[in-house]
Amino acid sequence: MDEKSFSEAVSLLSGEHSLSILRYLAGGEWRIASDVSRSLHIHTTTASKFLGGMHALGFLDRRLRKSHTRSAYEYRIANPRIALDLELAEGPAPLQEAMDFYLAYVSNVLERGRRLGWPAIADKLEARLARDRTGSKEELFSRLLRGEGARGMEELRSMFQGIQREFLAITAASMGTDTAHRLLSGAADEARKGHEDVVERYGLRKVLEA
Amino acid sequence: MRMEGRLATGIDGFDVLVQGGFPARTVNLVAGPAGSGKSLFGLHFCYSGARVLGEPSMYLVLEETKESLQRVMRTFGMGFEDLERSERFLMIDLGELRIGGAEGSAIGFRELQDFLASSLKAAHVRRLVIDSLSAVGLHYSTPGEFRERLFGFSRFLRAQDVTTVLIAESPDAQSLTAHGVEQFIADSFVHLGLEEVKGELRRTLTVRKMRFTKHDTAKHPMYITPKGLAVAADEKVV
Repeated sequence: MDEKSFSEAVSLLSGEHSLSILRYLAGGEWRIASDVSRSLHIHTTTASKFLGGMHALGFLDRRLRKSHTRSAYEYRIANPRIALDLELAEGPAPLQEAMDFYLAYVSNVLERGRRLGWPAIADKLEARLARDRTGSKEELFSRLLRGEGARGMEELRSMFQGIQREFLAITAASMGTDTAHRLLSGAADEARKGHEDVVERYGLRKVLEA
Repeated sequence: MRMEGRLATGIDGFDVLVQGGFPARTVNLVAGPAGSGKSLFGLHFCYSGARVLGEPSMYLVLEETKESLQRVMRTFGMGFEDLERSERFLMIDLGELRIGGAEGSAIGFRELQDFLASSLKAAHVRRLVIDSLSAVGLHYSTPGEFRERLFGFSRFLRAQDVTTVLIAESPDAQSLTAHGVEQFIADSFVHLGLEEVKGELRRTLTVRKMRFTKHDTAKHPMYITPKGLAVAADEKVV
C-alpha cells in the first residue's frame, strides 16, 4: 500500500472503537452499521464511517442490501488477519521514472537506427514496437493505474527485456553482434542521463545488457 | 559501360585510363589532400554502380557527416532516396556506433570487420567505400599497430565478394598517405592532387598503381563539373 493509504488506515484503526468493531466482524457474517451500533452501543454514524473507510482500504467486503422500506450497505471482514504493508521503495514516482528511462531508450534506438542510414533496420525495429501497442503493454498500464508498484516494475523490466532481445536479433542479423551491442549500448547510455538514480537502484540497465 | 571483371566508376575520363574500371574483388586506395575530391570519387563509384548497373553499394561514413555527403550528392544530381529505400545504395554513418556519444571512442578495424562480416551479406553489397582510413587510424596509438591491423583488414576484404575503395588523407605535399603503408597494402592507388599554379588551385589525378591492369601513369587534370568529377584523359600535367 502507498503512503496515503497507510496513513488513512492508521488513522481509522487508532479510533476508540475500531478494535471492538473488527472483533465483532471477525466471525465473517454480513453486518450493517446499525447492527454494529446496537451491539457495541456506539453511534451509528461512528460505525458507518469506520465500515466505509475500511472498505475503501480493501479490508472489508461490501454489498447492497435492499428491502421494501430502505436500502443499506452490509459489510463483512475480507480476511480475519489484517496487515498493513507499506511499500516505501516503489511508489508511482520511481515506476514512472523507470518507464521514462525505457521510453527514452527505445526512442534513442529508433533515432539511431534512422540516423545510421539503413531504413530496413529502422522499419523492423518500429514494427517490433507496434506489436506492443496492445496486449502486454495495456496490461502493464492497467497495473500501473491500479498502483501495483512492485509488480508493475517487475513487469516493466520483463517487457523491455523481451523487446531488447528482439532489438538485438534484428540489428545483429544485419550488422553483427558487436556492432549491434554498440548501437544499443549507445542508446542506453544516452537514455540513462537524468535517470541515473532509478536506473542504478532498480537495475534497469541490466535488462538491456542481457 | 560494363566490362567483364571491371567495375566502372562512372567518372568521366577515369575509366578509360584503367581498362574500364577497378578490377573486381580488389582493395583500392584513393588518397589526396583535403578538398582534392576523394569523397566525391567514392560517391561516384557507389552511385554509378547502384544507379547505372544495379549493383548494391555501401558507403561507410566515418569522418564527415552523412548530411554533408548527401548534400554533395544532391548538388551533382545524384538522387539517392529511391536507391536507399530499395537498399541498392546505403550510406551508413558509423559515427552512430561510437560508445559515449559523438566524442566517444573511434571505430577500429575490428569493429569495421564485425560490421562488414554481416552487413555485406545482408545487403548483398558489391561495391564498398570506406571514408576514411584516416578516421580509423585515430583508433591506434602507434603506426605499427595501424599497419598490422590494416594488413589483416585488407585480407578480410579480399575474402569478400566485394570491390572496395578506401579513402585516405594525404597529410602534406611530401607524403602520399598518412602512415606511408596504405598504398602497399592496396591493389591500386589513385592519387588526387591539389596544386597551386599561378595563384589558382588545380586538381589532378594520377593512377600510381593498379594490379591486373595496363594503366596510364600520367598526371591528368581533373575538374569538378555540374555532373561531378571529370578527368581530362587526353591531357597531361607537366
